[in-house]
Amino acid sequence: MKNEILLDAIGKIDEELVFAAEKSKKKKFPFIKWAAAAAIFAVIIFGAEIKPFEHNPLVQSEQFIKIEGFENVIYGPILFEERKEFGIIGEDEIGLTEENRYEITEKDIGEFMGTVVEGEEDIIGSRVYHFTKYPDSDKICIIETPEGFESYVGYIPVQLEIGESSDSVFEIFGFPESLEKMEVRYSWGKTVFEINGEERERVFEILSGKENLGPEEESRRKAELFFETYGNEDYVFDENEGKCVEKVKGPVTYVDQNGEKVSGGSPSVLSRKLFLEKSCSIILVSEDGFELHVSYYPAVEMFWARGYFSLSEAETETLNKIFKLE
Amino acid sequence: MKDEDIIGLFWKRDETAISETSEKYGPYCRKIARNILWNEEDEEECLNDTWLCAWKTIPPKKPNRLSTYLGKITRNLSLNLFRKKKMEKRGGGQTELVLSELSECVSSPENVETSVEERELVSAIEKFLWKQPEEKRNIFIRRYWHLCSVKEIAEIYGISESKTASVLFRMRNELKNFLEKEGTAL
Repeated sequence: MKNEILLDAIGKIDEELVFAAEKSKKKKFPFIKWAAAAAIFAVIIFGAEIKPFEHNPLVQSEQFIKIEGFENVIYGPILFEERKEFGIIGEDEIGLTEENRYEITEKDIGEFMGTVVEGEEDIIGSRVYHFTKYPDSDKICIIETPEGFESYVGYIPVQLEIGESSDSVFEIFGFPESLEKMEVRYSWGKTVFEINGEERERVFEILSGKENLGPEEESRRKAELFFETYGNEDYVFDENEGKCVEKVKGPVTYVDQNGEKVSGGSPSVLSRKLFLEKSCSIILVSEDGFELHVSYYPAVEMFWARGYFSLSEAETETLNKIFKLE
Repeated sequence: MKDEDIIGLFWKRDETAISETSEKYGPYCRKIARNILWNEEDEEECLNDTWLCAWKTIPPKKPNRLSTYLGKITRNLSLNLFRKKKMEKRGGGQTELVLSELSECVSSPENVETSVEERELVSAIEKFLWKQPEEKRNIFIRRYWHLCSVKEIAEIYGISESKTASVLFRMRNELKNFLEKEGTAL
């Protein structure tokens, strides 16, 4: 029907229009307008600083590229937070102000890395260079685009098939030979500590040679954990759907296996809390700067590294000790 | 967590991207799904599929606005589910009403045959919307992109329901005329 075609077409309009509508609300009273005028006046008089609206014009959809010789890596324009990560701008900076854009100059252009072989038409064939500041890193690079020099950052987007070994993902990153750093993070962005020496070897040994069991296995274990803890089947794994489903909606109150009363969330919310209990991220960094994020979920004796892998009870105990989760 | 951090997590293939996205944009996407489906179970399904779709598409995509990127996915998934449920005589929300209103913007709603390319149609709608005064434009988008109820829109903009309905009525007529003039009438 044509009205459905129209409804679908409206769904594809410019995102800026949608965003503007979401931010809009009823008109302000006149005194608020006056207050705004007064604020501007104050800026003029007292020279207060106005931070520009945070918006990165470089980050557009589908701007990924591939570079000859780095087939496993996809590169995209550098993100604001990545500028901080690479020390291009200060840690405390907010907003992509003029000075935060960091203009690349001749002194930043390092050794030639290759040419762009995949991406939008006008960028194919562009020359790619190392960043002088990071000569050994293949993760950050400078591309000579038709508009000028731009910083790009690469990621390895490998995703394992069910049945594949965890060794496959480690091989792509060049681990263990190229493993430079192993970090444990309890929450995003905050490195808690590094793992070195024998412990690092032991972690790697445990994570290696495991078979990818797929997301359904993880969901199955979530449902089992829920049943073990609360003794009911309000949150179960549905074999037909291949995922967990709630049998009861809305906030629930249960008594857990220790006799403690738990309330305040839906069964899926409570399940998530159980699942994430003592979980952490392990970041494996390669010599050429690429990171593999491993999520560790001891509550269900599993870890995720581009696939879903099972651990034995003894392995979980060992990892809990190394990751200081006890 | 900031959008760029979340996008960074997706790019690093860090699974916490999904929980962070769900925590930040769950209510926003649920509202869109609710407007279309009005069924908690279906909303949940669409939300889970939205996170999965984001996981599959970022990378290679680096959305400029994560909110609207996710909202768009939820809207499409919800409308598809609505159509499926409609075949099974289920579903609710604002979708039927919105579709019936949009019938006023097309010449003969029953005829599927159309020579207009979708891209041209989208671009004509955008052109039409950019020409509108800001508030009218936003009312239109709230109704036909987010599928918000007329009552809700009236509350957002502090105007009466009848005024909202009348703004929408006039805009539908204007859109129909505009599309005809642009040679993109359906």
